[in-house]
Amino acid sequence: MQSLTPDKTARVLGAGALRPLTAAPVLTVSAPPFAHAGSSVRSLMLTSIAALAPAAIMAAVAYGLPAVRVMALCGATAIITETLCERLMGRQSSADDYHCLYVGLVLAFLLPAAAPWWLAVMGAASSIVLGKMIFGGLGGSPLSPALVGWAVCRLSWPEAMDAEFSMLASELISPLHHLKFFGPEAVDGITSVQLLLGRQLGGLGASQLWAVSAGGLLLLALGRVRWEIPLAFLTGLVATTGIYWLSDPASHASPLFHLLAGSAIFVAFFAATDEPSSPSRVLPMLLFGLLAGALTAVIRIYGIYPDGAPFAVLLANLFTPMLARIRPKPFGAR
Amino acid sequence: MNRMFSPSTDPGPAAMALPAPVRACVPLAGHAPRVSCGQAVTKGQLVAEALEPGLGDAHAPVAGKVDLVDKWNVCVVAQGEARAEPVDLAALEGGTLRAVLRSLGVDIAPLAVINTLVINGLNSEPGVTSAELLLRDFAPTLQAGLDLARRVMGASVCVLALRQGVAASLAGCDTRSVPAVYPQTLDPLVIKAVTGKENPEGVAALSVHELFCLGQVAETGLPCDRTVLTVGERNFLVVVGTPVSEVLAAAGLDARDGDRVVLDGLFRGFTARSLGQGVDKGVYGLSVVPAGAHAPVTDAPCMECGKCVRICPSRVDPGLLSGCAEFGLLKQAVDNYIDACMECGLCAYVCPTHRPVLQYIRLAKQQLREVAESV
Repeated sequence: MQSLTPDKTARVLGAGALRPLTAAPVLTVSAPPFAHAGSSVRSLMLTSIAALAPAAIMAAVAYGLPAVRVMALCGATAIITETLCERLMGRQSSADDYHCLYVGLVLAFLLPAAAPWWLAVMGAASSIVLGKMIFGGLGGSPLSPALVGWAVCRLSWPEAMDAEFSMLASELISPLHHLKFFGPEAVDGITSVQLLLGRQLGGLGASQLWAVSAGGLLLLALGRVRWEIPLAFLTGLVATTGIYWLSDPASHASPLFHLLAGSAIFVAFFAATDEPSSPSRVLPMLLFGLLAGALTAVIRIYGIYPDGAPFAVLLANLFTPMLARIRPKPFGAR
Repeated sequence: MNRMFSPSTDPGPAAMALPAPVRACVPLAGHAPRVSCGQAVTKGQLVAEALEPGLGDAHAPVAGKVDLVDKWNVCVVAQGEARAEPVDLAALEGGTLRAVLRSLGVDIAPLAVINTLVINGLNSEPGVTSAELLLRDFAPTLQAGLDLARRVMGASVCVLALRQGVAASLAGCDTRSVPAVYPQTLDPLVIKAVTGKENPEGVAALSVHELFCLGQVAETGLPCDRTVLTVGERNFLVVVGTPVSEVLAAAGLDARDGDRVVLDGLFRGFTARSLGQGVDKGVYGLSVVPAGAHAPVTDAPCMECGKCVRICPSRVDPGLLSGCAEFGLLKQAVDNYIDACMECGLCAYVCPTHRPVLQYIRLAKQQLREVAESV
């Protein structure tokens, strides 16, 4: 801070101000509070990115350089897109808060490792432009930004987005595809352990299940995300698929399979918890999670898309303003 | 539990009494000066008249000569021992008593006519121990203040709310242990802990510092001229108008360019404009927040993270209210219960984008008051 001379001080403070003691310091005057918990957007986002790290490493181990390439492309495109948008909007760049990088990485985790470069670029760019910046930037997103980019790609280039189709060389299968097209017998042989170890085709990071779960638990342990949305999401998914499975085990997969296959756990922890697009009070958060989980099950069972989790969250996002109306009476209200 | 909110510890040794200042500056807020430069004043003489009905007048805390009068201060250079004539309060009743108290510098707005009086015996903010020190070491003065308060307020029931494990009592008051973690230490929440109701009719709370001021008036018949405040680990008994520089020096603290010198607590306090500013009545804490101690406030938009919503003791949406204030949507702020806010400051404390949330809410409240007055 520039130091002020006493006569300058008198000018700043106005005539008749207290006569500064000799060389009295110039104090800062501001409104309370004068303490802060210490978190910043950057620290929150870095925590989230750190929680993605285990699954990112596992993806690199499982798929090699192609996976690293997709993550790098998505991250870099997101940062560049946000910087360009802010340039266009005549704003100071806020790309250094790492939110755009986080969005880019979440999208990358949902793309197949064999995604072509243009798919990653288009996905990341639409995540930032359509998911975040046209709504005014951080805090304005009515939909989880990474899922917006994912949906654009899923609807525009279904073949490229289809892990099973785009990775024919791999000996792994996409369990939800097999469930959708060949019925529950086709996935009987897939054990939970295989799924947990990430022996499934899908989003390059979302399918690294144990690493994603570890990252999710890290987010909970650090208080970065609250438990309500992930827990309610997974509860909604397990309960809904459980009802179908109990009513007709022959034609439905088990709730455990639904929990571990596809991107449900990843989406529950890393995409459904996007703050602007989800409610912030406890009961609305629980309802939001349950709704998204139940919708995931419904889309998987009745829909044309094998993995419904991202679409389910996008649909639940639309309910957020309504859920936010469920609020307690304020203190002392009669 | 966050260390920041943990209940304060023992108040420690007896308050260190600082000598009366050689130049006392009485802070003015909503007062019109009634003395001029060079005028001789006695201790306890009126120096500025309150402009609002609930506010007490301001008086000279020392006898001497006025050497500065402006919008914010009246400063008196100490000289001699002349005192104003004490007022006998014993014979006074009702409205007359209120008027006299106001002329003795007592803020009478909190002295509403009620049937249950809650004495908030908690240290109202983290890091402050002066309230419990007053209860321990200044009980007779507090008792005199309580008796006077009950005479004015007509309270038939009195409850003293204390932190678990604090042994203190006031005659005529039931004692109750209540949670002492900020923001539970604030009056509305202490009332809730005692009565089980939120903002119940016919109940009011007074802080120990308010009683201490009233007690001084009751004992001396002169305006309140001392306060006990916590600075660092110790408490100091300070004459009103003592420049903050002297209190800081006694506590071994110093402030540099760009630091904030905070009077009262870190969540609800206010900053001194300069080191020459005097300590006001009822100030309970003083601290120095070094420049750059935490990230500065920004005009970033709310990121909708919901931290403030979940921590808010008033159950309002501070982020939303700050947006209403930012864009001048006063009606929307009222529709979203801005009046329920008790200004605890936790919203801005947790805000990751460093928005001045509490400042925005206060701004909107002030604008609403101005609108109400202009109608």
